[in-house]
This record gives sequence, structure tokens and C-alpha cells, in this order.
Amino acid sequence: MICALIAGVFTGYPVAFLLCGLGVLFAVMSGIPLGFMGTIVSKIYAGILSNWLLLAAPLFIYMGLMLDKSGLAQRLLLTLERLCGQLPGGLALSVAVLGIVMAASTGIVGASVMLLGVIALPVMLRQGYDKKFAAGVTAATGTLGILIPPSIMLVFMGAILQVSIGDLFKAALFPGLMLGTLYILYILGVGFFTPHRAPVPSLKALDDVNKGHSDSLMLELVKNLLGPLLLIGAVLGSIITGIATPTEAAGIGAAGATLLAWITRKLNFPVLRDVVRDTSKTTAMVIFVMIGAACFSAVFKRLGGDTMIEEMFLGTGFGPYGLLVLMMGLIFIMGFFLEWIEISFIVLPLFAPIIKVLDFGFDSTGTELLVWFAILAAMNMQTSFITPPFGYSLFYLRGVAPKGVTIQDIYKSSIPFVILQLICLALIVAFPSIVLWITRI
Amino acid sequence: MKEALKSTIATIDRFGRLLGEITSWLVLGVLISVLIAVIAGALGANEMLSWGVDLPILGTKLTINGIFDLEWHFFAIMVMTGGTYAYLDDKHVRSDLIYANLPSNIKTWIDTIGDVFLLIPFAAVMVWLSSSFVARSFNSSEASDYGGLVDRFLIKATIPIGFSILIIIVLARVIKRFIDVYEEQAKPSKVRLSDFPEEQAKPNKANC
Amino acid sequence: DKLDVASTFATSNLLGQMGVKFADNVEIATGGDVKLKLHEPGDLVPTLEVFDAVSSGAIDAGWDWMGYWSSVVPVAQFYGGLPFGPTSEVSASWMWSGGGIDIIQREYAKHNVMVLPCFIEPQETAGWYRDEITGPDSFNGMKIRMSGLGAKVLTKLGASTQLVPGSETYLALERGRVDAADFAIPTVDEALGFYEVAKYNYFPGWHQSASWFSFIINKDVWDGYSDKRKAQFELACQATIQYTLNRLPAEQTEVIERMEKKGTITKRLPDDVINSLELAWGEILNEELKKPIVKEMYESLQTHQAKIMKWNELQNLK
Ligand code: NA
Ligand code: NA
Repeated sequence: MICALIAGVFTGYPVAFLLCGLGVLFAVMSGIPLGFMGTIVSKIYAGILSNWLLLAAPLFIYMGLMLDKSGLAQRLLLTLERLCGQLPGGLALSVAVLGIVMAASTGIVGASVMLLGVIALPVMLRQGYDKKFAAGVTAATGTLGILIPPSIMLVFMGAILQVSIGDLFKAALFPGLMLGTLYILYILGVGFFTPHRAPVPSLKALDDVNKGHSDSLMLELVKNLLGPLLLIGAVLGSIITGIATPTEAAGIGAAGATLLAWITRKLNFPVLRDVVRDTSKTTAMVIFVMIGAACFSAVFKRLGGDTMIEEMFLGTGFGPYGLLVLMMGLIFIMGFFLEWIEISFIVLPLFAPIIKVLDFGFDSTGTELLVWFAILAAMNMQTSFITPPFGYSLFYLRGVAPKGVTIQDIYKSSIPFVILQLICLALIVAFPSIVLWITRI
Repeated sequence: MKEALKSTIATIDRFGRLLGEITSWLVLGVLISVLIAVIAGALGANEMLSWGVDLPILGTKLTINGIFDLEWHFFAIMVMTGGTYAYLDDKHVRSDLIYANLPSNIKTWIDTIGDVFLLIPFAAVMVWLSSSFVARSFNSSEASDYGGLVDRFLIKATIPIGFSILIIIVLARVIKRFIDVYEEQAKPSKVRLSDFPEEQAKPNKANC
Repeated sequence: DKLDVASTFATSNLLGQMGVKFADNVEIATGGDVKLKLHEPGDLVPTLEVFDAVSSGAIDAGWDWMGYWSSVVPVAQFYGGLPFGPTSEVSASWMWSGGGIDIIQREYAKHNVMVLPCFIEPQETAGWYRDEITGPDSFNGMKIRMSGLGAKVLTKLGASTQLVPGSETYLALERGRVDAADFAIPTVDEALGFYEVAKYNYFPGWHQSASWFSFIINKDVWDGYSDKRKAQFELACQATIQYTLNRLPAEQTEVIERMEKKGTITKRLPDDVINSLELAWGEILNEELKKPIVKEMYESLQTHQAKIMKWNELQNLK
């Protein structure tokens, strides 16, 4: 069944339908009464359609798309560019900040990377940036969005692992910011020590940038930077302080983004129409993978697949950390080919019960272990998305990168970021409290 | 005969897309009901509106629990029709490491075989089993037992209806692919006349 | 013979553990011929879909709180928890000797489900409150996590009742999304850590003086069993009820004392609050009694309770 899945995935047929179909196919072939598939109807209804925990997903997607399609994201970049223009590596820095803020809300890797690839990469290249540097900044910061909350990946992980989404958001915040900070330090370092790779624009060029804008820098900052930052701050703040549930916070975020677009006169019917249409399609896309995974795993479990996997892992004779490394290795490899969506829905439910009973030698409850594991998995996937030669984000970036940026350039550009991520991953494995301290207060 | 078939298929296709376009607005319904729930929760309001007659779905009054139910009712309809909408626009996530570089006729074959042997059987099983699921709900007059919405069978019915529509749309797509292949062989010009300008106008992977 | 049982409670807490106890008892009673495998909530089907899945035969059996099925079998909420109802001893007696099982079985049979109520939980606490309850007005505008008939009563006193899933209840209480939460008996509440996030544990549990948890099984599967096998299941069921009646009441006092050491304030609701709750319940009950099935069930219970009370009175030494 697993082999059929792997083979099927490589044909490129939509993964959601592949999972659905393989479930039915194997049920029929192994003589499971079709009535058993009634459990999948129950799961679709009660676990998915009426699951209030998932309501945050379309709202976060809506919020991200509204920021994007109303042009708020683009203007945010331009403003940041004016602000950081004279810093070494300033433009790359702007892109990183945009990646953290923007990708923060859409949460779908392909979308975030393509968005940055389209709006930010050409700007950097035009300013004379080394393409082997600029591409890495784009791919890495576009991917960072899945980890830094609000993240729809964490919304779904919470639903899958049965842990509080609020806890996951809180747990991801510090590692995410730690990684973001490392990125920024690296970018500043490149700009400072090798200025030819990230040139500071001449004053004349900067004047040109400024000339295109009628507002003063201050006014523009207030209009374009303050709004989105306040919005993200409000959303995160209300979740972390517990004023609002993730769903309520997502609702506030979506409403806030709409309001922001309206205040800045960017809201019109075509924008709203595009936003709701893409929200609906993107949400359904994720949900259908969830439906597919429900079907596949129900049949897989019924055939004893989950016990088989569990015995396989425990039969290796590895200790807890050995097993963790093995699982992380598997997730890492899968991250080359798959979005977080498939990995989370198919693999995490198989690994979670094993992790829950392992003793990692630090004082924790089963739930805390799952939160830690989820963040490790998230950080891990994020790394594998930008690891050459296979890497989901690299692949998407190649699709939208301007001519002249070769896949080799993209590969080389991503290596420093992979190293930074591996450092972070190792730190979280060694010091779980990096993740857990915030959930304990 | 073939022209009639083609125009039927085009109509089915347009219907599916139109349905997706209409129901996509329900995300605003989700948004508004979440906001109302936030405000009502803050004010400590429980029963918000009450009327004498027994309306379908809503019952005789609207409570905060009814609003919570409305949120996922909108979500459920949007998702069940959105799946078809995403299919029409090819937005379902693929692992296109290899797929993207395949010649288009192989792509067509992969999609057709997958649609016929994987997607349609699953959707058919779901339609069959969820119909009795809906019937059981209808027969027991299932309703919220904490003052939320009533007539649960209606929202449950989005499952068989959603999957039925998906089957029809997928079947139409499969037939259309065969017609295209047939026409391409008949005309060596290699120009494929598509009945679906919307589909061509959009790049395949944009935004996702 | 292996039977897959979808549990609506995690086997890590008492409510699920009693399902495991029942499974052990079945294995003993059948001499190891029947093994029940309890699956964790959501493993086979989502918690609130267990009844439907057993009904359709998608799964064989389930372990549940009976109140969960009130959206499909409305009278089930009276079995799940009856405000101002009789004690668990009286309730158990009525269930198995006073006709209680016949009424609910008749309703479940319409859905092709066979029911064995096998665990009676003693009276719950009145819930965990962040603030003190000083009078009936205290409930006005309060956000409370509660389900079933008790929730309807609190709504009448101006509270806004919300159904927060069990797993999110702790967080909702901690962050003030709700001001109070009712969950179960101290053994269960302690394990979930409510004493860490709410100061006051109120008594008495007016909203459900006894709650039934049950084993449900698809009727076709059940009908396929021999009379001997059916009797073995019933034996196992009775043994589980007796076990819970024996074990739980004294244990609650130990748990309460343990939580008090950690700062919990155990309090009794003021008398005027209890009176207002009973008045509000009276109104709701009158409304409910218009349904024939509720009337039949309630009268049957009253009759049985009256018999026990008369006997107790005659035997009263003081
Ligand atoms: Na994010
Ligand atoms: Na309770």
C-alpha cells in the first residue's frame, strides 16, 4: 500500500485523489466490507466539515491572500526597501521581513515562495544583487512562513495531533524568531563583508526609488508598514495572551486585512472576488488531502499497517533519540517531494503514538512531547524544502525565477540557509525548553 | 452528435465553475459569523433572536451556539463544492517534480487513468454510503442538542451532493479528453481548440 | 472473536478505563473467547459519530456517555444526566430492575443498536468556577462550559453556555474564554488539572446526580450471538457497574482532599442558588414532559424511586 502510494505520488496525479482512490482500491482487494468505508463518511462530517478547529484555516488563508492581492504586501516591500535601502544587505533584509510577515499568514509553501519570487527576486536582481544570494533569501524566507505563526500548517497539526493550536503557535514563535534572526544576521554579514554580493544602491538610485513615491517616508511607513505589522501583532497577541481562540484571532485578522485594504483604497470588487475564489480553492485543496489521508489511513490501519510500522520502529532496537533521528530523517526525505500537507496528514499520525510513549529524559507530559515533536517536524520540513537537489521551495522558485537564474544558482544559494536551519534543529533537539518554556508560563 | 456532446460537456463545466464561484463567497459567511460570535461572546449574549415560526435549519431562535454552527455550515458547503472548483482549475496539490516535465499526452493519460480508477470509485462509494448517513439523520430528526441549529440532515447532505457533482464534472472532463485526443488525431494541425477559455487563461500553478 | 470498540473517552482517564474494565470482564466471562479492543477516541471514527457508525455497521461497537446521543435519541440525555435526579444507587436499581433499560433499548433498537449501560458515574461536582457564586445573579452573563439538560437550566439564569471540546476545556478555562466549566467527578477532573486554573470547586452536582456510560453494539452482531454469549456480556456489564459503585464514592473524598492541599476551595452552592436552579429546571422539565417518550421514562423512574423511598422510610432508625 505504501509502495503504491509512493509510485502514485511520482506520477504527479493529485495526491488527495490518489490517497482516496488507493484506500478504496485496497479495501476492495483485501476484502474489507465496503460498509467499513462508512467510517470515512463519519470522519469527513465530524472530523473535517464540522470541526471548528479547522475554521481558522480559511480565515488565515483569506487574510494572507487579501494582503497579497490588494497590493498591501508589495507596498510593504517597497516601503521596507526605502527604509532599509542604505543598510548593507538592506534590500535582502526587507525581503526577509516581508517573508516573515507575509508568508506568515498564507502558510502554503508553494504560494509564499512564488509570491516572493515574483515580487521580490526581480527587485533584488535589478539592484545588482548576486543571484546566488538573492535566490536563497527568497526561497528560505518564503519557506519560513510555515513555521512562524500564524501558520495554517500549525492549525492542521494541532487538529492532527490533538494538541492545542494555541500551544503550537506559542511553541513555534521562539524557534521561528530565532531562525529569522539568524537569517537576518547572515544577510547583514553578507552585506557587510561582501558588499559586491548585496550592493547598497547609490544615492542617485535611491533618489529614483523615492521619486516614485509622492508621500514622505514617514507617512508611507505609517500607511504601509504599521498597518500590516499591527494586524499580525494583534492576531498573534490575542492568541498568545489567550484573549481569543485561533479561530477568533483568524477572524479578526481576516477582517483587519479587509479593513486595511479598504482604508488604503485598494479594496474593490475584483480584488475581493479573487480573494474569496482563491481562498475557497486553496482551502478545499488542503481539506481534500485531509479527506484522502482519512481514507487511506483508515484502510491502512484496518489492515494492521499502523502496528506494523510501530513494530518496525520499535524493532530497530534504537533508543528514544535514535528513533527520533530516524523519524526526522524520513520526514526530511519526504520533504523533498511533498508539501507539508501530505507529510502532516499521512506521516505524523503514524509517528505520534510512538513518540508519545518514549522517554526522552526531560520532564514532560505526553502533550508537551507532541508539541515539541510537532515543532521539530515543522523545522525539519522547512529545511528539507530548501535542500538541494530536491527541495520543494527550490522547485517552485525555479518556476517563477527570472531568466538567467539557473537551478544551479538556486541550489548554491540555499546551502547557507540549510546550514542555519540545521543548527536550529539541533538546538531544539538538544534543548527542548527552547520550544516549551513559553507554553509553560 | 459530437457537437451536442461537446456543448453538453461545456455546459457541465461552466455549471461546476459557476457553482464554485458562488459558494466561494461563503468564506465571508464564515468570517461574519465568527465576528458575530466574538462580539456576542464578549457581551455574554446567548439568545440573540427569536421568532415564532419553525424555520428549516434555523429552528425557532438564533443562539450563540447557532452562530457557532453557522460557521461550520458555511465552511462545509464551501469545502464540498470547492473541491470540484479546485479540480476544474487544477489547483489540487501534485508532486510535480516529474509531472511538470512530462509531455502533455502522458499527463493527460495519468490524469485520465487516475480519475477513472481512483477518484470516481472513491466518490461513488462516498455518495452511496453518505446517502444512508443522511437518511439516518433525517429519520431521527437529528438536531443540535445544545440550542444550535436544527435539520442536521441538510448539512450532511452536502457530502453526497458534493461528491455527485464531482463525479459528473470528472466524467465530463474524461470524455472531453477523449474527444480532444480523437480530434487531434483527425486533424494533424496540432492546434487544440479548447472549449474552455477560462482554463487556458490561467497559468496552472499560480497561487498554489 | 475480536470486537473493535470505538471509545469516546481516552483510556488514559477513568471514563475510558471503565471501558477497559468492562472489556476485561467480558474476556473473563467468556473464558477468553471474546476480546474487546478499545480504540482511542477519533481512532476509528470521531467521538460524536460512534453511535451512527455502530448503527450503520461501519464499526461493531462503542463505549460512550449516553448523553452524547441526545441529538439522535432525545431521551438519552435523561440517561446521561438528570438534574435533581435520584442517587446513583436508585438510578442503577431503576435501570436494571425498574424498566429503565427497556425504554432506552426500545429507542436504540430503532437505530439497530443494542445497549448495555455498564458504568454509573456518581454525582458529579457542580463545576469549576474562577469566581465565587454569591447568589442566582452570579450566573448572569457568565460563560460556562456545560452540555445537556444542565446547560439549559443555566441558560435560564442568564448564563451563556458553550460546548468546548474536552481537550480544549483546560485552556479555555485558563485563558478566561469560559468563566466556569463542568466536566465530571473529581477523579477525572484532577487528572485534567482543572484545579490549576479555577479556584472554586462547587457542590452539589445538581445537574446530573448520576450519569450512565454504556457499551453499544450493532444489533445484527448482537443477534448473531448465542443466548449464553449474551448472558456473558450482561454478567460482565453488571460486574462493571458493581465495581464502579464500590470504588468511586470513597475515592472522591481522597481526591478532593488532595486538591484542597493544592489550593482548591471546595464550596457548597448557596441555598437560594440551588432553589433558583431547581425552579428553572422545573420549567424545563414541564416543557420536556410534553414529549411522550420523556413522560414515560420520567414516570417510570418516579414510580421506582417512590418504592425505594417508602422502603427506606420504613426502615429508618432515626
Ligand atoms: Na506562518
Ligand atoms: Na459533565
